[in-house]
Amino acid sequence: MRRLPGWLLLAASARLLADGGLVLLHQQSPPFVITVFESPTPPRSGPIDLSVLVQASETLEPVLDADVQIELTRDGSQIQARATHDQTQNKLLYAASVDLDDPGAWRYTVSVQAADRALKPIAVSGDLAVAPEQPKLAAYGSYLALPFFCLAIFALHQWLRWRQREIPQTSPPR
Amino acid sequence: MAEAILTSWRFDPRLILLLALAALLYVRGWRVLHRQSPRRFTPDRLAAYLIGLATLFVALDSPLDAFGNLLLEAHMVQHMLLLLVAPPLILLGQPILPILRGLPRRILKDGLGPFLAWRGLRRMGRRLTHPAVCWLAMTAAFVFWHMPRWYELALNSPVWHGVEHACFFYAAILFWWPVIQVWPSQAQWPRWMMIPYLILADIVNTALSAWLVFSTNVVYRSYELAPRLGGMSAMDDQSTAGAIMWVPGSMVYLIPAFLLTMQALNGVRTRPAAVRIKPVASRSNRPAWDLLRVPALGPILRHRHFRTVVQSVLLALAVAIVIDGFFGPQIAPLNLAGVLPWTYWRGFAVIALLAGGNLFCMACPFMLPRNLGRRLLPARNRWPRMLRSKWLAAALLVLYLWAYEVFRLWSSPWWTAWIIVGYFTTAFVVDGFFRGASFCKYVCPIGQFHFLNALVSPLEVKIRSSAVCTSCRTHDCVRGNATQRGCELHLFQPRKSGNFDCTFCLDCVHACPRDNVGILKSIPGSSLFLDPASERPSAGIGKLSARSDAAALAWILVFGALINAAAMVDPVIGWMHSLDAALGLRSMLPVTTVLFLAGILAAPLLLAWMCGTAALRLGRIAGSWKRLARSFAFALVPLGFSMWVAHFSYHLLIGWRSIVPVYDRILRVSAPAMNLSAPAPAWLPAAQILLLDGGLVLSVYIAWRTARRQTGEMSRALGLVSPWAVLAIGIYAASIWILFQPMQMRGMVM
Repeated sequence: MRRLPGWLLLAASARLLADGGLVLLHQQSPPFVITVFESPTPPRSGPIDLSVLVQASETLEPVLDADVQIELTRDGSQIQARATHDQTQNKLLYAASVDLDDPGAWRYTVSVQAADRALKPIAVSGDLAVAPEQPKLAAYGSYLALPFFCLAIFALHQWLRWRQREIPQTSPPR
Repeated sequence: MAEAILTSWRFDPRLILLLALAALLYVRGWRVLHRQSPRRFTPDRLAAYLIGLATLFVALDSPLDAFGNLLLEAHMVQHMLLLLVAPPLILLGQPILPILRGLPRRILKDGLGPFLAWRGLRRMGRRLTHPAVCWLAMTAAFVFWHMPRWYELALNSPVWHGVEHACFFYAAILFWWPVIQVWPSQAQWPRWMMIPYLILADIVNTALSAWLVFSTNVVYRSYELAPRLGGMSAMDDQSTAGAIMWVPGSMVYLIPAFLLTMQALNGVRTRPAAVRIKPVASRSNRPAWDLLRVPALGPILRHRHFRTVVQSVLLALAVAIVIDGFFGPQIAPLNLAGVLPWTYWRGFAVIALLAGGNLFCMACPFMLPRNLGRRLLPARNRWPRMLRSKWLAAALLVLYLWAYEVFRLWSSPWWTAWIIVGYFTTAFVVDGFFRGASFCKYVCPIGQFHFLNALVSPLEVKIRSSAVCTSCRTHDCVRGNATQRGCELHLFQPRKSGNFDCTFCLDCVHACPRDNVGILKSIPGSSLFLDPASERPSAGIGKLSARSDAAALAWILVFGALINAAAMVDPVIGWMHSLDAALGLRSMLPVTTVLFLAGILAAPLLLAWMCGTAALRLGRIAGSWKRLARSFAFALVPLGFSMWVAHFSYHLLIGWRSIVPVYDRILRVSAPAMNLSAPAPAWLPAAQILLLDGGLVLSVYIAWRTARRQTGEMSRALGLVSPWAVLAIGIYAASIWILFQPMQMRGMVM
């Protein structure tokens, strides 16, 4: 019990890696087939993971040594990020985490450059509708409910203890 | 590609911690039970349980999970592991008794005891593990989550995906329960009934598999949209997934059914023989964990010059801060006096309190000027009787918190340097003229902060064995001896309770001729809920619950935590400016002072009166509200402390690199780095809320224990505790609101 705060703190610090999410775009752009995933669903302002699967268009084999850049633009603001395998659980994907503070319609562009750099980078684009940030009370609802859950269990515990002490006194003699 | 697939593991620390805890408890209990009943608790059971946990880990964190949204067959294997492999293996370990026996005795007896003895829970457990219920639960979960609508919901939402997996796992635990007949539950159906039970489940499995295999279109649309790997079509993927569900799935149902049939035909009795588990000997005599007995660290801490060394280091830092504060640039982020005390020292001090104890006082840099004062000045007088309380220190604490806001101490290296000089001078003069540790006990506001909050710390300086002290006649721990002085704060170790007034100086450790004093682990806050009950006052401090000065200190520190943090958030700063503009004042001083005094003095006083009066009525007890306000003030200490930790650790985490500009400036780097604040880690708000959660739970628990000590009657205790619990929830809500607001990074360039 005394170790519980430490456990909880460590549990709270878990870094969840992007693992794909919902397919945002799937496009053949020879020599690649590019699929873009977004997470969370729906995307909300704050940190958003964009994952990219790059496949060879002829064989559909994943291409693992490409250079993948992601650019997001909206009303003059621009965010660039390099997507890598390090930021995703599924190592076939390239992922980048970007902080989108403003909700609204963002335009994303994914540029894929083959490792040998023999060809020009292939770029695919699409729109990303970012919803307003989730209210903090909802985002952290489970954490806020936790002490009340613990207190409810404790109240039940105390009631049981009290009842178990009271019942032998009130039960009729056998 | 194979390498990329094989390295797609998640290693989620939450799952790893949970599984490690489950394994640890089981192994602890199994070792005891194996000695007592080696035929029942065999190594096979241990192996089955551990493999079951490992299977769970593979299902949830392996590449199966990473590829689950691209390949239905990977997802299907994951589901099969959660439904048909991990649960039966875990249950084959007969886990109930080993896990219960693996729990610390106190948690088992006091924590779980009332639940285990609750007939209602047993009845519910028996109904829940009825074979009909178990079969329906499994079938419902299995069919429901494979319906396209709900399967898609789980695929598109991590939360629902987690719910789906939890449903599978727990429904499967129920399903396999009567098949394996987990001990000590009793069979509710004849054993042979498990044969149709399994066969019927297989029929459902077969129907669902056939639907997937023979379907002419892709059942789950997400897999139709997902990129295909290696050229496998979505239809092929679906057929393979169906075959996985069909063939290995059916085998898992049919093999046990076959074995049960053979047992029934052979007339094998499967009812387990009764086993008597011997009670385990009490562990109460086992010595508590002692920091001073930790290899390597213990001898260092006990070394006679250890404290002097760390104090010298901190003294050197304090001197450097003073010099830089007076003579360095008056830009806080570029000055040691603007960075070290306000970003680092405060953060590390509260974290040390949370993780250990009053470690700041142990390394206090003011100790050396105090000792110097004692050498150079007479140091013979006794501290004036009228000042032998915490009132002076409480007043100084209020003054300090007020000055912090009004004079913006965090942004003024010059003021910071003056405060440190003032501290050194006061320590030198007070201990130069008065005996004992008058400065620490009656004057130092920082010390009072640490004394009070250390009541929630997990370590305590206390005796190892009371039996040793019973035969002691010299009482060196408090009186000292020829080579070592005793406790300067007059804490008599055998009667000491909690860390209040304890500076962790270890004088008592060195003075005890029988080596009977250590830094032992203790239940955080235990001295707070034991204090009102103790008939004998704790040595050196009396009964905390009877001391108005200590209670006032508690109220000030709890509300000080709120005020100190609230004054940094944008909405509060906006209100203050609006009020200032509305009143047409030229300076913020009057508004800040009035709001500060209202928050730190008037509000606690009013709330103490309101709660005390309400508690008297609801609890139907006689007495004054002041007495209750004294007793229950200490219940709020954990909540206030958690707010201090959440606040200061936030600044420490955001500004952990803020020393770099000072370093660059001192080394004369041409363009010192200025904007070095780190973005708040994504996990920080959750960690802050968890801290406050812990504070609230502990505060309400202490309030409840305090109420129970005041009255033995349950309904009256409930009435007595209610107003204080409401107050604690109110403070928690206010703290959460403050943490959710944008906070100024004081003393840092953003």
